[in-house]
Amino acid sequence: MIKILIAIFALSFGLYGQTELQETAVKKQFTISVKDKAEADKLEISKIETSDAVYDDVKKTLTFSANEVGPKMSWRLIHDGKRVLALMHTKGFTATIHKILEADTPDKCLEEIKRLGLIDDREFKEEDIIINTDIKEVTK
Amino acid sequence: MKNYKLLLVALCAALLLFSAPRPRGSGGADQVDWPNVYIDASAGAGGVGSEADPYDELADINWTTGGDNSVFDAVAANEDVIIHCLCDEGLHEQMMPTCSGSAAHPVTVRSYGTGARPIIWAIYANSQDYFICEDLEVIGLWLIDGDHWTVDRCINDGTQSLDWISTGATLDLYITVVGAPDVLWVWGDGTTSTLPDPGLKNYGGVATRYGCVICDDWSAVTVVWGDPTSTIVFNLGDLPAGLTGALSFHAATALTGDIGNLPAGLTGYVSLSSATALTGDIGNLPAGITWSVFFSSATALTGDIGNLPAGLTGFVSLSSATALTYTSVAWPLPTANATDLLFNAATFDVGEVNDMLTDLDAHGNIRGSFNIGSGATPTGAGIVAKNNLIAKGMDVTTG
Repeated sequence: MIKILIAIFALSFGLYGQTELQETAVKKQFTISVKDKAEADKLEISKIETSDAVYDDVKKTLTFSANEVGPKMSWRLIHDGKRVLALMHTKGFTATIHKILEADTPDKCLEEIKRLGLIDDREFKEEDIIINTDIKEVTK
Repeated sequence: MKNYKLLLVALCAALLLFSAPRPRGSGGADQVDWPNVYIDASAGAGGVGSEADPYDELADINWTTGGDNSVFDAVAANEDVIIHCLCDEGLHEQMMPTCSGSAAHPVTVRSYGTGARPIIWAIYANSQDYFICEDLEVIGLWLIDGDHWTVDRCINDGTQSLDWISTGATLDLYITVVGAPDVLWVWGDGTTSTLPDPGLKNYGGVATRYGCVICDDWSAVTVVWGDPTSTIVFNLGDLPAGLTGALSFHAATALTGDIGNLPAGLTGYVSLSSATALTGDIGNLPAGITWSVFFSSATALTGDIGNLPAGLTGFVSLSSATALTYTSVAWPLPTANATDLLFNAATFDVGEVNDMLTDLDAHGNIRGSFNIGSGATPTGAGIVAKNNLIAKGMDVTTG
């Protein structure tokens, strides 16, 4: 009996314990040509602490990983762990060196912003138009 | 005898002081009801502003310092000035205050009595703040630089409507209407105002906030106006030609017109982001716009991205337009200093996609998003450029 209860508890935890938005981004490797290490160091990718960017002084290349989602129409939240960088509703492949989460509704992105405690001080929020329109349609 | 002469001199002096006509406000005591002022349009001229002996027009109010019934001095002395305008006596006047109230002691203008409410057909304020107008009929507000104005229950009693608003300031204005409103839009976007609920408010009837007008740089705006007797359907060509600042009808969905008809002098932020039916070639946008354009919902806009105003910075959203093009001949990319470029729905061909990516990589100063997600998949040099842009920190969306 106790074993059954433990199993049920474990199953429940597995199902409901992890409530955050699922990471759907694919990590892809990119290689770009650079003139020298100084140029490589100037790039944003080299300024990210967790970056896996590797400079090859022989080939004069920089290899790094970036996140990609798409191509179906979806909501995409891009952030750097501290701030919201973009929230968009689009199709196509979106690639970024920052964190990206994909969702089917804007609410899930907004919940994620709240859950992670992200600062959203963007001057313009284009998604407001779409979200507000959706709300209006619902409340008519 | 000496005393008699002295008495005569004193009498003459008294006569000179008190019986000679004097301009109102030039001296003497405040009337008995002060700091309440009473206006009765049917009263004869020469009243003192008390309830028993009212002024007959708003122009009698002493807004300056010094003199009797000085609103300026009363506010400075932390008094609450209330101007009462009698109903049903045909007051139909403009009001031009030259002093301000204060946050703790705003100047109030209101009606009293019963019957038709007094009409103030125009309120002009140039740097006068903290006024409350309530239970009047206010037809027009011209607040060149007036903050913290409250216009409450002042429109739409079935005979009057607010005909125009013009402002040169960030307002804390809100409008409350009685019954079904006849107001097209109101100032206040809910973000810059300090009022708890700026915008159109419901009072005793069904009120709908049709839209809002916001502007990020009022200091440069000459006039913005609208027709409150209909829904938001004006044509862009109807905007005053003298508009020289920023323009935002962010929430208005039914705006129509050719974006080439926007006032030529516009220089700032232009947001018509909810309007779906806009038309025109983006190359005809006013050339002086230097900061952010939002035509996010307009599907029928056309033109070459390279013909956007050359000085554009900030956010460029044409995210619903499907028929945009890009010619690399239009060099250098005019939007090189934009932070975000959104062309989500444009069906660029592979040549255009590759050209845009390579041009941006070579000359762009983009820091945010670049979206051509409905265009062709980049190839060759386009892929190289895309990877470079990603390494620079942009998020890039391609087909």
